[in-house]
Amino acid sequence: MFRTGVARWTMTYFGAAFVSFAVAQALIALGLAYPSAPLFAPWTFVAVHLITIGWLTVLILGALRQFVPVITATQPEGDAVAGWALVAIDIGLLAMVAGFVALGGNVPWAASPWLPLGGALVIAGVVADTVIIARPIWRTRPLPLPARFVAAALAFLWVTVLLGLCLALAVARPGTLPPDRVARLLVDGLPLHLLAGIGGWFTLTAMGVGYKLLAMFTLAPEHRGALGDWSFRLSAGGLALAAVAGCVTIAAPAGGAAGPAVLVLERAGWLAAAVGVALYLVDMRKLYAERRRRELELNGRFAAWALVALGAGLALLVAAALAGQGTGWAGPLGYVFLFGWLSGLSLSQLYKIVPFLTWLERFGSKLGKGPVPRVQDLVDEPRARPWFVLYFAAVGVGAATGFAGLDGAWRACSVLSLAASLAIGRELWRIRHSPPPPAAPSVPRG
Amino acid sequence: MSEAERGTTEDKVAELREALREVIDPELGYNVVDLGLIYGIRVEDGRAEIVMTMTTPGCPAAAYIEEGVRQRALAVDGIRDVDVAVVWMPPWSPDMMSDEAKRHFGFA
Repeated sequence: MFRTGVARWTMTYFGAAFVSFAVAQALIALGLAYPSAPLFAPWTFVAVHLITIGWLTVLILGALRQFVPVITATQPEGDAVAGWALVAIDIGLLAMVAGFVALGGNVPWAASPWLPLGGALVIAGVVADTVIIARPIWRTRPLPLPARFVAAALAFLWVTVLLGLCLALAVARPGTLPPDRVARLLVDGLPLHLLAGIGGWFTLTAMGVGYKLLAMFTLAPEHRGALGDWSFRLSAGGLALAAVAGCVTIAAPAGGAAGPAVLVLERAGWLAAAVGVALYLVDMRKLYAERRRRELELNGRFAAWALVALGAGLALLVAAALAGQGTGWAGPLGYVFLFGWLSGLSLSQLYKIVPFLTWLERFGSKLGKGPVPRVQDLVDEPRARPWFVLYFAAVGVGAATGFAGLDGAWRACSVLSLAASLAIGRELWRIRHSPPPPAAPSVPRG
Repeated sequence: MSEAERGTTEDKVAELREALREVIDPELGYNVVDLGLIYGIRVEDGRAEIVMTMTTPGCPAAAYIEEGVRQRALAVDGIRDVDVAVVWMPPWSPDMMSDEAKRHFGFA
């Protein structure tokens, strides 16, 4: 019999993640980080790592603690490990922030100890978390489709953090490696770090989680058939191919080139991954069309907006590749993926997951003993909806101004997205801390 | 079993079924009976056997819903013992909902 409980620490992960998200957006809104500062400026590094490690990685790890037992029908495990892992990741992140700030000078400490130390702590936390998340996945093979996405994503997470540690060493202790190797790491390793992180870790996880959660919440068929299978094979396989080719390029003999065959493999990997993501979008459209719950709740409605952002990001990525704009469009493109797709999906699903877990904590044991509210009674969708609209509108307009080179307007949009995020955070806080709603007079009795 | 006893048992099953309409799936916000989660109810000598499922295996609310069904059934007059069996075959699908529940979710 499968009876999954509530994972301890998941809410703490969410809270810690949200703080990083707000601080990162504040750095952008205040003009300290990109687009007001260069893409490779110290404060931009701070903002980027607050978003990628502090917000998305911590949020996803916390969510997977609860989500993997759902897709593998097992109990959450490793509660004590999860608590210490969060401490390690967040202290490591703070150390990395100190290191990045030191890169810009004007502070009385050096970057060299803080970046590798922080990176090592982040890796320790991530390794601990991935072990307790991966164990039930390993035990429940053959895996259902969402779990296959998550398993592949966890592998990419390790690639991402190991490459990140190499980059931190190259920046903080350039003497550790030969100069041409450092240069190659910075030129070819950074795109690979982004590919593994945004494409492999974040996007594959979001795709797998989306398949399960959106099918559950919209009452759509969970079995996705060949379209889902091919979406996984092409997206995960393509990204893996591109990552291997990238690693071969970095590892090529000093002064030599990796050769045209490696370049062809890398491009084939990118193409396959793009086709895989496109198939996923087609399948999600099918899922929405087949759903039985015709009136969507807020999370289902705005998840669709995030999927639109994924589609837009994919189209722009292909356009950038065709136009040779890979570097020039990197900032706005990253913004579309990180803020439109990943953060948009995260915020919309938090608006369902937080009340659901809150309901379990507060009312679960009262079920059957008297009237209890529904999960939906804990939220106030009309009050929250405008903030979600503002968030997605600000990110959409912000991305457009970014591609147009209007950095001032882009920064103004980031002020609006920050305001919307904080308002959504306040809604989540209210869900957790408001007095209990009236006990379900609205529960339909059939 | 005599006709009178059979009638009494069927009445008790109907009473239990009605009582379980007060137990909801918290996420869907609808009662477990009309969602089609209750596969069968049997009553004999004050003992109720309830066979049910969940909307998805691994649902974090599953233990609470199962316990809620047990508690509500125990509160029914004349029921002294309750056995709740959660099964996964046949898997639940929205087609198992009552017509009214289907209308509530917009697909009937």
